[in-house]
Amino acid sequence: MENMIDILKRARDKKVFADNEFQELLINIQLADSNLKLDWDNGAGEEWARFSNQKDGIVCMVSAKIGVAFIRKNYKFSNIKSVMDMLEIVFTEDYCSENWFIDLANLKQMIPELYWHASEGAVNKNSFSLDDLYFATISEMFLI
Amino acid sequence: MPEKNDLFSQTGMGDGKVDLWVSSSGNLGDFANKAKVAVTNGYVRVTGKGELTTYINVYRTKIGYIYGCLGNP
Repeated sequence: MENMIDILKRARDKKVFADNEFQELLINIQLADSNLKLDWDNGAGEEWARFSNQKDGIVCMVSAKIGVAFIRKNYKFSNIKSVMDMLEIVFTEDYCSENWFIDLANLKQMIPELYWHASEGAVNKNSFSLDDLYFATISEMFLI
Repeated sequence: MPEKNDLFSQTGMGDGKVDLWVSSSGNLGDFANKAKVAVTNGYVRVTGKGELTTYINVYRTKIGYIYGCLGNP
């Protein structure tokens, strides 16, 4: 099990996106690898963007607020490495393995850019996946 | 505006008639955890862009919890 706070702290120390920096990063990633398809609803306040390709599915999950990207191990990262040098890069086998834990009080204090909305029943903070992280922090603009 | 408790019945998601969960192409191992739902009988709310929207983004976990937010087409 790995501590997500350690990753997020390093990411935040490296980069907090300002103005249109994140949008520019997304454009540069797509220019670096034209096979990548972007999934990000900016107007919905989504805090994570994901890239996928036909071969591997989701290959990159990147925070819209702080400099962290979770990259699938079997993706050819060299395609986009040069445009992501400023970020904390974490390589992962998949996005569904429950390999992570987090202290939510520390998250709130140390990473105010990310808002964890999920209840304990929805996402277990002691054992969760990157898909769970996506769900738990995707947006503050909730309806249901 | 649609009532929140009518959301799934109006969109067809509640009775499983509509395939809206987006899967990652090429990898059946990826869990399809996001859907974009178009509301057909009115606007939902104003988005962060300051525009009225008729879309809702719905997210789900593997154990069936869902979360909904305003969306864009």
